[in-house]
Amino acid sequence: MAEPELLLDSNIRLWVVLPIVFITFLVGVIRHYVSILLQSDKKLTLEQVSDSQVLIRSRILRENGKYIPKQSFLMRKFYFNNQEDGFFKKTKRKVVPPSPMTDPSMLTDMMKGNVTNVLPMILIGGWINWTFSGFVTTKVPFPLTLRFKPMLQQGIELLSLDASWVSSASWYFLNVFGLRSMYSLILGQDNGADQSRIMQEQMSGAAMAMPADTNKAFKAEWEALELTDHQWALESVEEDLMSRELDLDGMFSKELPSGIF
Amino acid sequence: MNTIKKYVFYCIINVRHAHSWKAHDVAMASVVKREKMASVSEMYDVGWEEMRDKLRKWREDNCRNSEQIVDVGEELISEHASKLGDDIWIIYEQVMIAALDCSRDDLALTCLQELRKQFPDSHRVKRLSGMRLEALERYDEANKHYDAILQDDPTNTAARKRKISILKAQGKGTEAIRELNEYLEQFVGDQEAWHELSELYINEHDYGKAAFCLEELMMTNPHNHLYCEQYAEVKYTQGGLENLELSRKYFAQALRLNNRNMRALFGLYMVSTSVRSMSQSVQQTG
Repeated sequence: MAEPELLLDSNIRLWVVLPIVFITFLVGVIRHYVSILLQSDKKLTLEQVSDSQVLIRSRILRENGKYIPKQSFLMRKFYFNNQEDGFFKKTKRKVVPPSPMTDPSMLTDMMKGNVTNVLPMILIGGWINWTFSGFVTTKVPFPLTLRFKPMLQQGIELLSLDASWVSSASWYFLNVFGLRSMYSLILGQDNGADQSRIMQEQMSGAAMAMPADTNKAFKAEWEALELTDHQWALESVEEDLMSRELDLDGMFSKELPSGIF
Repeated sequence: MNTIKKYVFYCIINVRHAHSWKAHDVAMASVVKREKMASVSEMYDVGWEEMRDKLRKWREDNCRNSEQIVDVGEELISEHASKLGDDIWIIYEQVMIAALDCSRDDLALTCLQELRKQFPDSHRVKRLSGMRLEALERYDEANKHYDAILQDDPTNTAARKRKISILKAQGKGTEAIRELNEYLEQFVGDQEAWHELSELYINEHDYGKAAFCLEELMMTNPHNHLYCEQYAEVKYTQGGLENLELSRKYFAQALRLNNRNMRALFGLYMVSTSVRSMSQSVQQTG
């Protein structure tokens, strides 16, 4: 049956729960500004810019080619995909995979990312664990199994205590992830205090690696363009236009706005 | 003696007149000055926030109503500068370009100096000072400015485009076309540049190439009725039965996208009659 509910000292609420919230929030804000200060400029080369735009143009040709006459579409397709001197066949770019060892800027970026995000989290988590230890801080509203006990009840050695009662360290981690929406409210969308986003980026960063793949991107575009056909969207446009009425209502009756305001 | 008397009398009268006229003139001049300086806020009874929002709207819509921008912007800068905060820098840029359009070099220079003080090493500000030199027709100096920017940052599109417009301003149409082609080879996605190139080709009466540029624009903006209509007009000008039929289709497309495009409606009518007369003449001869 239900255990007798624990009544926590209200001092805990005043001196533990709220200070942890403040500390997490302020550390997040400081992290945001530090990351802005340490940001390095990303310089793109002319070739990279040009290539990305060419890829966009080819993609647009595939998607919207049906709005231009067949002759023009074939002309452009020929320019890109021609056997001997089509653009995608002819251009080979020198590919240097930007591994952390060879590319010094990437190395410093990674280091900066680690220092600003992971390190403070570990330090402050440890400090909070040491300072606010030995008592339960709060109760999570849903029941947890016993396996969570050693994780969430760090300094408390009670075997019979319900696993829903958590210590201050877990309250700190709850805050780190929970204050994310507060950060976007106060600091704007792209803020440096957003840890979960950074961790997501780190995980997906391995999958992206864009600059190394220009040749592969070209090959993929070539294949896709080979497969596209031209379905002219304007085959029956005149009949479509005639079948409906022109909507000229109210065209000449409105007063035109004059002056600036 | 009589003439001398008349002359002296005439002078005295004039001097007296001059005195009285002087006071009257001053009064008149101040009235005139007050009327000329009747500020925008007084005329339309708006506060500085509405003026600032109007400028922002013009900025976002890319309107080129330079005289209005100069009127509103000049007053905003001179009277409400402190209240604008950080908005003031972009307003300086907007007003400066409008001032160059209206030949107000004094206003343009003030805006430029403020921007230079605040952003000493900025490429954007350098481009503005290049534009001012262009407006004063000092094209060689302007070219030097833009070359300096490009040496520092080869991917800067704004400087390249200004160099091309210098060539256009100097009347060197073919060179401008050549430079613009080279620019477009590298920056294929720049729609403004494609449109400018189509205009240059139309000026040179090279309608086939102008049609190519407009096709690029139609592909990237398939729902823009204006590009369809311009393409149809170019095809109509090219002439020949196939081009006329293509033109008719694109006029119809423009009308389908926007029922109220009167120019497309008129074009559709013109093309249809041309096609009819052409096919009639073909029937008669063939």
